Amino acid sequence: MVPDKKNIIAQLRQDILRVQGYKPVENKSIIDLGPLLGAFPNGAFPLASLHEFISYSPESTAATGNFITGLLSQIGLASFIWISARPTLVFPPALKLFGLNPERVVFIEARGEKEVLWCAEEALGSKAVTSVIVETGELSFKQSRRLQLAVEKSGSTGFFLRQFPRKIEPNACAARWAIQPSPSIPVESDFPGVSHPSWTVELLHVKNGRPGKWSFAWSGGTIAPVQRNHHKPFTLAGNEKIAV
Amino acid sequence: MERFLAIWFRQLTTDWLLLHQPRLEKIPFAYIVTEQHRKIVQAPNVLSKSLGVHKGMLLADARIICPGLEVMDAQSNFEHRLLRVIGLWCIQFSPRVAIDGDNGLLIDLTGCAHLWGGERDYFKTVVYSLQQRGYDVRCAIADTGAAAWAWARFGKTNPVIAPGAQRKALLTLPAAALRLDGYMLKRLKQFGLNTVNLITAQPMASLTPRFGKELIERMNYCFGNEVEPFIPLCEPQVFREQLACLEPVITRKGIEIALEQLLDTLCQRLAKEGKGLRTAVFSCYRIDGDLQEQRVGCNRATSKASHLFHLFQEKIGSFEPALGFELFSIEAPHVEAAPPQQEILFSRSGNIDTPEFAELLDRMLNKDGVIKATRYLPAEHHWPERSVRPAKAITEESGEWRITKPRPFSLLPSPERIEVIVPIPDYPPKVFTYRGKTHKVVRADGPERIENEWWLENRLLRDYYVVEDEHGARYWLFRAGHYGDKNPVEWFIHGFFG
Repeated sequence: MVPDKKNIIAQLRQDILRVQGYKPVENKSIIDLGPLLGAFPNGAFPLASLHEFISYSPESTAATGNFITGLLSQIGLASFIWISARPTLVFPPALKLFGLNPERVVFIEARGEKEVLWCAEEALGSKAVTSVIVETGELSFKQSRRLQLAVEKSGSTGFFLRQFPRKIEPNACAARWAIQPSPSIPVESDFPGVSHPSWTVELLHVKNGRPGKWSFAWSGGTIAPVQRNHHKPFTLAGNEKIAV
Repeated sequence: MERFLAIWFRQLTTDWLLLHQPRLEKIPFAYIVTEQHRKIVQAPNVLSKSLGVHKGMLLADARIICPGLEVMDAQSNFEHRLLRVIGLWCIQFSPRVAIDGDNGLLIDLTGCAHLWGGERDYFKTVVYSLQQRGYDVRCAIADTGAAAWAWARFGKTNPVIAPGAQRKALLTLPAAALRLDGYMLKRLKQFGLNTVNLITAQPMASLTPRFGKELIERMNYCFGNEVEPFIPLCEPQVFREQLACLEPVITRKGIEIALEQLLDTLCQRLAKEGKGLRTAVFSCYRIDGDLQEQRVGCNRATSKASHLFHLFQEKIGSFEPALGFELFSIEAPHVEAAPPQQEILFSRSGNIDTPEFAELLDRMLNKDGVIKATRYLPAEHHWPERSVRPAKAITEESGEWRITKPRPFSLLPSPERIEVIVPIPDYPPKVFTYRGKTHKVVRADGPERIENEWWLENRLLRDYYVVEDEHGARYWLFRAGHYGDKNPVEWFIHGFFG
């Protein structure tokens, strides 16, 4: 009786998601973020939708940029468009360090925010690119709605890197992220020098999901979850073997 | 066999003024120029001419003959500008049109006349369409430009001289038909050589020493013994299509239909020859003689009409049809070989050199407000600012990205000064202050020494450190120069790691 009930509820949940426009996903393996994926509906990273990343400092912008680069590198062989209203922040060699071939990225420089959004819509609506990264400040409900329509048609994913946003209002993005750098965990407790880049990844808002906070580090060429325990020496829960 | 049509505008400037100011129709007026404080009539209209005003007359004299004479100041070079506009409009009759003197045009109609049903109908169309506009023209068709010029101005009978018959026709004309200057005509008159046949009757050996080479040259041009230089207004394009409309087109939809038709024919031609265009120019000829153009550029040679149509669609809004366009043309000044490509089944291959990707970039770059699109390739420099360079083409392949040392996600456009506390030389700082905020350095890596490229510029070497502060934020700092140099050591921040 009890498992039946569970099955029914799970089935109903799926139905509700389907009604809300979430298709059952087959791309579960494309982007792997370990425990974080539980925050999303169906337990899969929502591709073919919009993601916004909020940052209020250059340090957090750089962390966000690297995190996005890490995500993109998991998409594999693909070309990307990076749109900005001023000369881009990105130093292309850094992309290589996070697993992305800088040659596959075309940087578009537009005159103002309006032109940036025009380009974003054009790029997101095209089937030629898999992902579009947009450096912008503001993203209103109306604008995000329009871009969402473009994304639904083409199936590409939009990443909005919002630096110093003046206003954060509800919009059509599937998730709102905030990524901060966090103190790196030495590979061994008394190992000198800086270690793997680590981040505190916060999901401020997830559509039909559960927001939360996680720790990640870039290790072994992928974004690996980290268990933080301040009483014991830090450990990495990646693929690497680490002496504790 | 070449054929030329000469057009003589008998009242070029005054006709133009009448077109724009119809109130002057019943008023005698003239264009005047001022020479050495004297006002001289340059171009009288038909009405004032009938009253006795002629070119070169003093304005004071003209006023006595014709008290109500209105005058306008002639603009310098106005005839030439006007002829240029009319000449460009005449491109609908032939791709090769040239300005001929200050009151005429010359059209090379070789191989064009049959499109209008023969030379006689061609001639009628040209004359009629110019006269309908309000220009008083006289035209003639002949084998050479010079003969057509002469026949238009001095011919009395049938304006179309049959091929090979121009010598016979020209013989009856006065000497002025050879287009000689006033001094030469006066000299000829002194010898009693008033008509062309009298001149040609003279032995060549006696003409040259008396009248110089010019006379012989002019005769050769007329009779086709020598080819007269012909400088067309614009070089005819190989890939050019045009579409004339029965009724002037005013609406956006109309322009779009015309554009679509032109692109279809042009692209079919391109595809057949295995070529693609890199730039395309769409020109609209307005009914009042105005010419409006828009051009688009492509990242890779294309012969896809739908893509080009999409690019132009953004720009159609800038056309001003006013009373309407009567002629559209499209040309491809820059054409490259483009072997036909197999249609890709799965466009999501993600390759950067797919046509879809190039089309997307074209759309963006042809949009007003998009500054540039750049792809970065590694450059062979260690100095961070010079370590990348923009790719020259979308398909350009690079060498290898040789990155073994950490590089920051964002690099500051130029390094910024920071205040530091360093415990021992050649050690990373313990504390640094950037923009008024103090950061305590917890961990650090380095130094990575990058030497100045002395053959490019004269700078101090840099020792780079990756430092992490107590919050985990990472920075790229460097010290410029060695310790122990005369100048005090300076520290800079150059980037942010993520």
